[in-house]
Amino acid sequence: MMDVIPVLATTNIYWFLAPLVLAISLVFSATRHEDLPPIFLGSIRLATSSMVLLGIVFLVLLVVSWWN
Amino acid sequence: MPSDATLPPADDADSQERESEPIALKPFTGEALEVDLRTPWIAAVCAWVFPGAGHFYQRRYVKGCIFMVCILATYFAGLIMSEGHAVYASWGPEGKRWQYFMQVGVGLPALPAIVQSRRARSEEFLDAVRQADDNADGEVTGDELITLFDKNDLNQQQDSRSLARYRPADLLARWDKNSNGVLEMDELADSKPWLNGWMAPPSNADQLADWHYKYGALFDMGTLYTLIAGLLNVLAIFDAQAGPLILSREEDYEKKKFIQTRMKFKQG
Repeated sequence: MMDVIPVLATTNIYWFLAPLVLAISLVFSATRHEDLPPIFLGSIRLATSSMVLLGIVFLVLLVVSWWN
Repeated sequence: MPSDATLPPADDADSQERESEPIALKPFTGEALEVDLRTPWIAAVCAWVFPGAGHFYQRRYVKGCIFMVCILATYFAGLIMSEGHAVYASWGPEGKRWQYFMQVGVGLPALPAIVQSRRARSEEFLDAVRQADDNADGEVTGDELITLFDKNDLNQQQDSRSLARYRPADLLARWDKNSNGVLEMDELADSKPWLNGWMAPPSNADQLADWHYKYGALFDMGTLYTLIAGLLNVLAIFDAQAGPLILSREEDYEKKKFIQTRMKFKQG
């Protein structure tokens, strides 16, 4: 267990976003559909749109940070 | 050029035209989706107790697996990256852990935090009682307890919160197993939190600050992961209780029809 912590501590915090988005989109999509194919399709759509939205927010913040 | 009075009102003509237009949507003719929810409230309770269990109870195995894997993986990832400190139950002077109310949405995996909290508080109390043994004879008498209470001025000091719940007579009644009116050190069993302090609350604000210093962003990230896992399980509980949130085909058709009608009005 102790070996995991230093590795995680040096990992860029943005990498933690990917599994979180994946889990959220899968669970949310599973609450909207009953069969597996639409669940996966819905989760891919939701994960993509979430990542795009977060990417836009990231870019906006990046641009804003350049001015300071 | 006819006068305006001879023309029919423009609005009436438009509306007649709109009503006569067919809406290009095929009505649903297939079979409706049927989901056997068995006993919904039992499924909801199962879903809270253990993520995915409600769906297994309803024999919806695929969704049960998805919920179980996603929610538990998120929860335990958060717990591991903070070495078990991201989940704890505390409402004391060291901080009000409001996040726990969301983390507990994950059910059984978050409940050890309550046991750990009780053990940690008992240990604080036992430490205070051990210190009350003024003459160091391994026994704490009722008088020594009263002295301890007076010394701590329990109504004033927040740090003695766990001790303030009791009165000397209550302490004796609870811990004096030999019923001889004296608390012996052997009777005060060890009450330290189990599992090396996993899910135990910080003993004070300094320890909480130490966790933040030691784990840095991992502590916050662990809190976020476990918190989101709890909230995701709330969605799973609703799904187990009431079925998926899809619109029925008929409702979907009516909704699309309504949207098309509104769009036509806007275009007109």
